[in-house]
Amino acid sequence: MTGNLIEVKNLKKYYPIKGGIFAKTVEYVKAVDGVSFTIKEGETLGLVGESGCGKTTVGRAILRLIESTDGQVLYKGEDILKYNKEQIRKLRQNMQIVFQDPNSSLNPRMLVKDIIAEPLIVNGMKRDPNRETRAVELLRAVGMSENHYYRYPHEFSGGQRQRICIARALALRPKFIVLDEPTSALDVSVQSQILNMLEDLQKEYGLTYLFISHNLIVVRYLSDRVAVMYLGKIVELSKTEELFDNPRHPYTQALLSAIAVPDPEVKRKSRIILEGDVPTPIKPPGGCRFHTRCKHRMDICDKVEPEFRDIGGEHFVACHLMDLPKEKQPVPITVATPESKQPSTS
Amino acid sequence: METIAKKQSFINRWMEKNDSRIKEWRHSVRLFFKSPLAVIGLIIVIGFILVAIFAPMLAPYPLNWRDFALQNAAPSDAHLLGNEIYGGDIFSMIIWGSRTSLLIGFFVVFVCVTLGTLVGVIAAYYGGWVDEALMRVTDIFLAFPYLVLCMVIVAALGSGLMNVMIAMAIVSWPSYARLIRGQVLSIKERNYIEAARSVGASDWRIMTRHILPNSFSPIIVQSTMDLGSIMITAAALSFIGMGAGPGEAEWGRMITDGQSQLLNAPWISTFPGLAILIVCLGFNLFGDGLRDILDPKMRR
Repeated sequence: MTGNLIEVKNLKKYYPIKGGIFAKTVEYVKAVDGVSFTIKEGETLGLVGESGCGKTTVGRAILRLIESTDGQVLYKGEDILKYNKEQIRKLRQNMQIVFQDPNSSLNPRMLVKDIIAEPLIVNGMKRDPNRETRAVELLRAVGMSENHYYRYPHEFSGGQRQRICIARALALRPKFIVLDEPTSALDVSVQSQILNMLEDLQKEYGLTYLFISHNLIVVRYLSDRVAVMYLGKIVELSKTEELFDNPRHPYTQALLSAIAVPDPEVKRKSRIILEGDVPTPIKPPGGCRFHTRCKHRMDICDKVEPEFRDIGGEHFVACHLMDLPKEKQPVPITVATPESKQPSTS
Repeated sequence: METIAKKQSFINRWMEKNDSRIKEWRHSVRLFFKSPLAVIGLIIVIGFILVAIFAPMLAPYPLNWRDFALQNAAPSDAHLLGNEIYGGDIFSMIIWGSRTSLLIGFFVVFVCVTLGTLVGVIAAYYGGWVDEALMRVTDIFLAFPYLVLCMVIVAALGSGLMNVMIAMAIVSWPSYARLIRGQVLSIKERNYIEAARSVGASDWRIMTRHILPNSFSPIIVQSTMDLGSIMITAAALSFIGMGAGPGEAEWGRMITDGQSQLLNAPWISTFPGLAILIVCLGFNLFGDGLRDILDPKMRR
């Protein structure tokens, strides 16, 4: 883990809403509203949050699959948001994405061999005699055999299709891969296979991941550090163990308390149930965005936006509670997980 | 001996490589033959095309053969379906006329599909003002009644079969552009398009390798169905005196020619009319069958 591979600075993505007779832009959906984080070389950064909080948008904006409204994305120190078309083509040899739904991310009319070879063909290996060898090699790397080479995607199961997607993403030997909920469309048993494979591939090829998910258990398993997003902003970012053992932001605490524990004998210490819905990202609440649902709300919370700052040990939190003296801060709830399970007495 | 073994292994390798394609193909064929109507359509279509190709061998009398002694003669052994007002053999003329119909149908459909695909794909893929501009142009064409616009264009160009074909192509392509545009709009949002973009594929490659193959099946169905209706329209234009001239072996024209003799020689108009009916029906049934195998919702 050396330098920063990716640095995201104050990234914003607003989607215009057109209205009126002349289709003027009347409002914006602030899908991502000022997000900053760094990803170190070789690590996995988990990005969690509920649906619609903008986590997928962040992933796509980093790859420039969508154009950001404002901010910077630095790859090895260079701002890739300023790149032109040709530079982006080159850049994408280093950055790839794996999508959530493997069923729709494979062209149903192409054979697996053509799907995996496509990155090689469009990047100058069209007449290379080694292309086929390389494609079979990729297929093996994701745990499939060359028997699968001349097949259509619909002849495979969901897990196998996701393996094909991963093989395609690996084809250009990228350094960085955005994993956009790669396992959420799969069965639980298959999920773990894919996750283990992703971990092995990371070691083997020295990959850096941005792992986007709403599944906290999966994120905990794979990530070195985790960022929690709420309504277009990151509210907490820390090392995985620190975040799960000592969550400081009330939203993170609520999120962690909702993890299902696969053991009926474990009693939940307490479960935080959030009131109300996520506010609309068209008019996000002023001050702290979470204040409408926060049970520790203070007077300052709806007026001043809390600063996203380090509270020590690279644990970043954006919450006014952190300004209070330690004894007045709400006690972090330790979440019952199989590791911290008490022997039952009943 | 060795060469035979080599050949054998080559065939085996080919079979292995294309196993999935063959399976796919077999599945489609099986599905198609499940519907008796589609098979009837297929037989009519193949029969029609064969008749058109082998017309010189099948027609008992040469093109433009006439015997003025036999004007309006009733069906007989020598002239199976009777003779028309100039004494031509109706059976032969229907066979010769199939060539004209086939030519018109394929020419018009070919031009429409080419033009429509080009316009539709470009409009949908690039969106924005390109889409707006191209779609307004197609709207202008679609705003006129089909047959009226055809007649206006033929009137401007002068009558004749070639001009009829040109006019029908001009009038028909916008509906193809619409159809393709709708397809592309939905396909281009699929993840595999984004995946292709993220590996660095060019616009051209995305359009030809990803979007077109996945949006083309409704076009195939539409053009098959249209072949029939284009032949009808061509016949209709000939019927009102545009297109083929008097006495020419064209089905619509033959109906017109027989119009005045409808009461004393009904066979002159009836048999070409039946030919149109059967061929058109054939293309429609065939198109329906194709839809069943090409529509992804019907599959698997």
